[in-house]
Amino acid sequence: MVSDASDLVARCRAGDAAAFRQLFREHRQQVTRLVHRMTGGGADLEDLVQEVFVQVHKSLGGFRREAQLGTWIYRIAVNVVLMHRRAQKSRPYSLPAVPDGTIADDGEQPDEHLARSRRVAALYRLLERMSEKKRTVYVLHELEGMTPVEIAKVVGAPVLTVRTRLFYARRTLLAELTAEPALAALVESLGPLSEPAPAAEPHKEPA
Amino acid sequence: MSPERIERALREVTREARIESAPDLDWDALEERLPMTRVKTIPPRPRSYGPLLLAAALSLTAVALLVGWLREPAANRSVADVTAAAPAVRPSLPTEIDGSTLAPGARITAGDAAKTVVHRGHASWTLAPRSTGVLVTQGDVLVIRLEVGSVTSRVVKSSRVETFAVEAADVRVAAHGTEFVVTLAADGVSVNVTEGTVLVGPRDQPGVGQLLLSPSAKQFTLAGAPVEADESAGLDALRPGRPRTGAAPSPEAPAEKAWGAGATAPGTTPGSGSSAAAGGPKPKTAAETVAGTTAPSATASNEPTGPDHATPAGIESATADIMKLAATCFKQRTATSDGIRVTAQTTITFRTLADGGVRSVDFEPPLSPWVQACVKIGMGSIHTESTRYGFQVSRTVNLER
Repeated sequence: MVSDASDLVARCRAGDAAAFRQLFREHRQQVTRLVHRMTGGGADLEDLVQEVFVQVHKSLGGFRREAQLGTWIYRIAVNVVLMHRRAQKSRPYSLPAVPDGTIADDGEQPDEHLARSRRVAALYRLLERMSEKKRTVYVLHELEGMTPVEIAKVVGAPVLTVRTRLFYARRTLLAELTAEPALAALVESLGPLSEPAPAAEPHKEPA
Repeated sequence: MSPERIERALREVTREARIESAPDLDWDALEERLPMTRVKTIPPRPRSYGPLLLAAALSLTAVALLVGWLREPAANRSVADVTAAAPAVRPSLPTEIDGSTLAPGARITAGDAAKTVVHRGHASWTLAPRSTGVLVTQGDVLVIRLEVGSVTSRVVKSSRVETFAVEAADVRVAAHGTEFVVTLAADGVSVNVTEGTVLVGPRDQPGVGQLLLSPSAKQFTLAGAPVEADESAGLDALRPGRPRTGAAPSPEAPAEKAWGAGATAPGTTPGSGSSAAAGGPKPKTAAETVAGTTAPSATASNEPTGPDHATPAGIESATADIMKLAATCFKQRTATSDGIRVTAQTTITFRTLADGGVRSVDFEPPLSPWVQACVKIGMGSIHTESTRYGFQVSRTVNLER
């Protein structure tokens, strides 16, 4: 059950350890999922999740009641990941984990599972090559399901800017998709078009 | 390939990424490492003084109500009371003092508002309302003596081993590149580390004590002995396989527990409160503090048996084993192709247990998760020299694949 956010924050600020524990338990899954997606599985997930909640703890004094607690925590999580990535820039790049053959019991055939894992890893590699601004809005919108208005609050940019970044993120991915063999194979495997293409995004090129 | 197919493929793989679940983490362990047991928020810096002046005026009316509490002897308050109350007492009008204008021996007392002393480029310390601190030494090493209340310290990172210390009763809390809170009460001292690492030990033995890694909080008797409580999350509490030693000692005899079995906790008896500063041993000087630690630093922790310190040969042997393990893991777990050489420079810090096992190996900057996981697995097979306190070594290394 999600508690009343204002009350929870007030209790955390007052030094209620149980309240902070509750805050952690209510938001740990979504923070972990976001960090995992923003890093493509290529970082020490546990350390980053811990850092997010340490920052949340430190910043509780700055939380404004008018903000949504979830959005506020998302903003902190995004900032923690971005800071981590910037710190990592000068280090040698390590490839994300190769699927190790451990198959979840989801009724899927092992080879299907492996192929899917490789495609997802390929998508994360493409995202890795993208600018951090475009990558962030793509992950928040396409993977986390956030609206541009919500993303604007998280990244601190106008909604129109978010939409523009999203448009260019998609365009970049479309242009580079077939550079990844796993995704090129997916394109090849898709049959003739059987559904109408979605309407083009009403965005314009930036000046 | 048609653009429509590519677009469908992107939608498909995005959908697959969306339904992929995040890996499960060890939530219990993660929760243990979070600063939950001592929640203490840092209020935002005031943007203008107008509302604060109004708040200060209102708070003056409350001062009269607090007078009775203020006059209550500190000896009537316990560590638990103070640490529980500390977060609720937030400074309403913080004032800032330039530390360079203070001479050693300067006594700073915070009234109803917190008071911050800033030593530019070195450290800052904020006295909570109704707290008193004394600047013991200035210069390369700052030492603050907390006489009453609570102090939050923020220390700028430095390559030096120790650049800042807070003394409270006979407890010494030394740090570099750290943020921590020290609270002095009638029956003990609590230390809450929110960032970095501090070494908490007897005031007259710099370089000896218990290492607290952030985030953690721990209580100590006035004599400097750690109080083992369920709420404590220090190095000992994190140590696998080491049983908790039970509840906190009774207030009547806190000095019975010392830094190591058989050792005698120095200093005062409980109940001496803030007056312990005057009667305690003479504080170490800055030069003594630095000289008390050698490189590679061998830091003590609380263990009951074995020699106090590892031999140089034992330290070198352990270091060589860890370096070899790191090099092997780096070679095995770093991806490269077409003869591309990958190199990395990192500082390895490892800590040992009293029984000779390796407690942890950390890398700064961190290596890839796969290399670190490999090291974590491999360190279980490394055995180092047994010492009473365990030891810690940091060394910079170049790795190559």
